[in-house]
Amino acid sequence: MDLKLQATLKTASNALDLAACVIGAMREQKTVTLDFAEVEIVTPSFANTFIMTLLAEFSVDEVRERCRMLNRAKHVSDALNRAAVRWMSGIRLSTQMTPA
Amino acid sequence: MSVFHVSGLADVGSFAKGEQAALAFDVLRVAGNHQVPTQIDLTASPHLKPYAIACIYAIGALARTQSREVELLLPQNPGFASHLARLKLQDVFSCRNVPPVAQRETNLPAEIVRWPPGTAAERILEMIAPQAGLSPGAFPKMAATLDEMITNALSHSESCIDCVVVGQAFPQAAKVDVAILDLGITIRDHLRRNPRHAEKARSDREAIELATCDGVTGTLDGKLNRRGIPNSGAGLADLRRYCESGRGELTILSGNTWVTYSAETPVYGTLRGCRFQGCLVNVRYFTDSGLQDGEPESIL
Repeated sequence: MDLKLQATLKTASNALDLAACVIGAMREQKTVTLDFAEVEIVTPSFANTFIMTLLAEFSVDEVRERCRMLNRAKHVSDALNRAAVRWMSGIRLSTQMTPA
Repeated sequence: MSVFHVSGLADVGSFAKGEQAALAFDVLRVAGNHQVPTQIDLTASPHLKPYAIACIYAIGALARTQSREVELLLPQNPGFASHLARLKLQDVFSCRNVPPVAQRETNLPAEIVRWPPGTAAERILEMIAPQAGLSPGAFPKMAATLDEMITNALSHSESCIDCVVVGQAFPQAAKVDVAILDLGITIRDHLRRNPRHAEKARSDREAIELATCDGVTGTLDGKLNRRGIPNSGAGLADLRRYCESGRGELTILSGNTWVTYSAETPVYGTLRGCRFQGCLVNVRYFTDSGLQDGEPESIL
């Protein structure tokens, strides 16, 4: 599955929609290619929600191998990697947290 | 009839320098107390910065929610009167003798942003930031951080006026100031709703500091926020990091405290004798810094 993403990636809702699309394809054993060539703005909310939703379903290695994120500008790549770093440090979406 | 006479002292203070005495403290107090006078007298005021104008605008917006009208006496200083006319404060106040002015590119009308914020952040910065000489690549990050602050205010504050945004470019200083203000719950009130953070947010200062840490949100574990969206507590932390890298100054005022983050040591201030019921986020973007983000670990 190949997707060309729009210039502005913002809101957690949009991130959930994209993540659902990617997860669906990956569950069918498909490889997903996301083209970030036109992406200029990525908000932390979008990055966190998208990446954390993916990583709740698949390992980092699986995402790295089967969800190719191409043509990322440096600041876009940094935003996505920061989200992954947050995940690795234990930070989760509120919906992924278990009430104490 | 209650009249709020705004001080004739120039608003020349700096949150970053802790210069409370020279800040528009009277304006912060009235807005923070949700006071609605029958008249706001700006005749003696020579100038107000965006954060103070946001407070004034919020008072007018608050009055409208109460089906009341506040009269705004414009400044005698013609330059400042023209500035306020360009900001269109007359949209929320009853004003007489509004000077006819042409819109300038260094400021844009004050506005109330409602949910969903849509492209408000991009639109605001597209109008004012280029005038202050943006360094290459600065706009996307500025827009992303501003969008987060507006979304925060609209998601968490429960403000009856949604949020007020006032921006201004300062070309000679190569900076853009944007104030995002709501009159809802304080950051402390928001975080204390989450048992995970309640004990660590005992004061307004502790709450503000905690809110700028990665992963901290008042949204309850296992839950969506009041807008039906999951939170991960990244927005303020990201903006704090941006400003501490030397690309800006972030001031967060809520309750009785403000904190300013920049490349210098954080500066703390206290609003003596009052609490700001709501939250004011004042972001000063340095448009020509040319500085880049530190690179995170490359995982994906």
